[in-house]
Amino acid sequence: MLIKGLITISLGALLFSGAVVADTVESEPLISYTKELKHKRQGGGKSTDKIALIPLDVSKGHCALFEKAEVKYTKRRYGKAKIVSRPERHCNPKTETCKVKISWQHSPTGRLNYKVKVTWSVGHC
Amino acid sequence: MKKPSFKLSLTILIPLLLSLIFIFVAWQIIHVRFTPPIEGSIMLKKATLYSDNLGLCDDSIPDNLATDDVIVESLPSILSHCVKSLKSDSGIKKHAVNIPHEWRNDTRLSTQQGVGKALYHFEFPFAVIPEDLWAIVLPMVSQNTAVFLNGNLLGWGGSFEAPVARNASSPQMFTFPSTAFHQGINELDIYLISEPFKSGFLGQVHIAPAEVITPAYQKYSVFRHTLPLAITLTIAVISFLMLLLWVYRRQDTEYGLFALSGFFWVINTLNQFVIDIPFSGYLWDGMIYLSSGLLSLSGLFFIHRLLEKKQAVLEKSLVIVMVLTFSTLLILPKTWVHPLFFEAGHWISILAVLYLFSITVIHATKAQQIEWHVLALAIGIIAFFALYDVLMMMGLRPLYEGRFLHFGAPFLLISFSWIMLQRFISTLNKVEKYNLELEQLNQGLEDRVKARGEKIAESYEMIRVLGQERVLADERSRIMRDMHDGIGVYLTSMIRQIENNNINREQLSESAHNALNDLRLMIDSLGSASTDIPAMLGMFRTRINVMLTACQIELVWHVEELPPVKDFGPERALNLLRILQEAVTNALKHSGASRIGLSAYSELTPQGLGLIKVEVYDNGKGFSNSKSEGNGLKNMEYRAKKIAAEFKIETNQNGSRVIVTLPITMETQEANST
Repeated sequence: MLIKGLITISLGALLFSGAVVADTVESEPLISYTKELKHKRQGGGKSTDKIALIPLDVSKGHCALFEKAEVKYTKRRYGKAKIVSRPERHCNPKTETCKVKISWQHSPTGRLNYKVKVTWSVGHC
Repeated sequence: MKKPSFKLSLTILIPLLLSLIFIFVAWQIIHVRFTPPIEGSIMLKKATLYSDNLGLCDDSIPDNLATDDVIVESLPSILSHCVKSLKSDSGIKKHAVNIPHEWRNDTRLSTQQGVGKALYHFEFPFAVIPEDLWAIVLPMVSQNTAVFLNGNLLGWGGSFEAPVARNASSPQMFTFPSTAFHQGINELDIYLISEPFKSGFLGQVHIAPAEVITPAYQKYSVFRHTLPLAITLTIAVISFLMLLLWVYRRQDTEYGLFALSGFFWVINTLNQFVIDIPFSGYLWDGMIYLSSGLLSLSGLFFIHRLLEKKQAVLEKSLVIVMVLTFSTLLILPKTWVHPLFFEAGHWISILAVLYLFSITVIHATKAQQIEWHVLALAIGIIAFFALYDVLMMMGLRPLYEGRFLHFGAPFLLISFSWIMLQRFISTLNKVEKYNLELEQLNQGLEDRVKARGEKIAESYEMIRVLGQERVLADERSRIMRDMHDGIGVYLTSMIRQIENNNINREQLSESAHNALNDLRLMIDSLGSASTDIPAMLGMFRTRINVMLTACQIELVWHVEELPPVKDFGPERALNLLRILQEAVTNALKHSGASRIGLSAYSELTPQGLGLIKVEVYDNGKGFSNSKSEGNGLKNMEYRAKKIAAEFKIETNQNGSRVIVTLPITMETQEANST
């Protein structure tokens, strides 16, 4: 009986841990990129770009939730871009506006082409 | 039949291929421009031009300002003041221009006589002040320039003292820290001075980070400044070598003319890299144009000689025309000279080059040799470059594209090197061929000499054999004669006695002994010791010693070392032995001596003649010359004469002495002394 009880407890623990794992898999990060932003002014320039994030399609009953954002340069000469504001974690673009604000500048003869790499998690809507 | 068609296709294809290569290279050369990375630099295309029609800026700013003890105003200060004046003075004419800009084409620009001065003012906005080092590049500018950014002097292109620095072929780059920029509108001022006014222009203006634009600037600088310098130096060296070649081979006038053409070419190309000219611009330009004319003339003479074309009338006419032209130019007013040179001088040069091109093409077509095609192409390319330069000078091509004639030199050098190489190879082949022929001739001659030598050797051998036979025959006859004169006489005497039955045993015995002695003497004289007098005397001693011992007569022998006597052969030896034998016999028979001596020694006469003396003496009673002058003494005297010896007898109551003196020749005497 003691053995049966031990086995039952072990299997129960195993099932419980499986459920936990399944929940983590569901929230495994997804990555998307925004469109490429290009800045090239002969005399140089600086400004800010605001990008509204577009919701990602995920499996039915689930939603993509904003995790983090970072700048990825595709062309960079004498310039830089920096994220000055980002949506709150788990911001859902389907239900609210999720915007990223980037401050950029490049020197004369410079240029700046970049995208924003967005990391998402999947969660229940 | 296939070979000629293959050769024909080669003679067409190779020139065609070479033409394509040359034309491609030439085309590439005339399209070389300053090309910085498109995105990496800012090209300023619009400017406001301020023309110094009031003479606000100095025509000449002395170079020694920086080194003078007392400086009133420095060069940067003078230049800054000049730029500010031009921009602020209301009397200065200004208008917008597109860059590149040429003064000669700008009708709004008031024509200035002599020195032309102007200021280009650019404005460009910078939203952000950049970082690091920046540069302004003026790839083509004529002639000297000073560059200001936001009122700060960045640099200048050389001397502002007349004649000002000539930077038409010297790209300018001014580097500065990016802090010189302002956020917002930046002002760039380029002050330009040119003498003559018509030569003034401003090519492209580029602003860029130094790291971006420097490689392009260096590349273009090499093309516009370093390469012409290297080409000119190469021509100078080759011309000098050609001059040396001509000095050693005066008959090859083409080398001398090449050297002369090279010299004028070098002068003509000086404008491409000499920035600070040593004398006035007027004289300098005159020298350049004059060298251009003389280059055409000497080049024409050179090609005529190279192609072996006799055009004496044309050449003389050209020399006269050239002299007259330059004489006229010396008389004409200064203001007329430049247009005349521009309009006429260069067209004459073009015509000369086109003429040379046509005659080389005709020659190459006739000769069907690649080197002449290459020469024709090289001259064609020179004509092309020259035409391009003339078009530029006439205003049909922009000044800021630069000149290209000097890039034609390498093509000409390649073609001339090819011709020289062909000549060298041809000469080597000829020399080798002649060497081969000479070797064959030598071999033939050696064979003939060898054959003749063999014949001569045969003849010598024949002569030697004949000589030997003759010597043998002579010797044989001598022996026969000696036997006849010696043994023969005794034997005859003995036969007579026997035949007449009048035998005297004593006489018969004596005759027999005499015959035997004579035979011995003959044998001794024929022996190997016959040429060695001491050895021969030694053998003689052996013979007489037995006889003297039997008679109880003492023999005194004294023979010294004696030199060899020349030509002392068996005949002379026999005669000497017979004399000595007769002397000993006489002493033995008639003197009653108890002692007989023989001495032999050599001595020198007061005249230096060497003599050998052989003496036979005794201690007998002597004899009277008159009484005893019989056959024996006469024979001795006769024999002495026969061997060229002196014969002498000394006699008295104490004994007698027979002396035979033999001369030694000078050669033997010398040999003996050494």
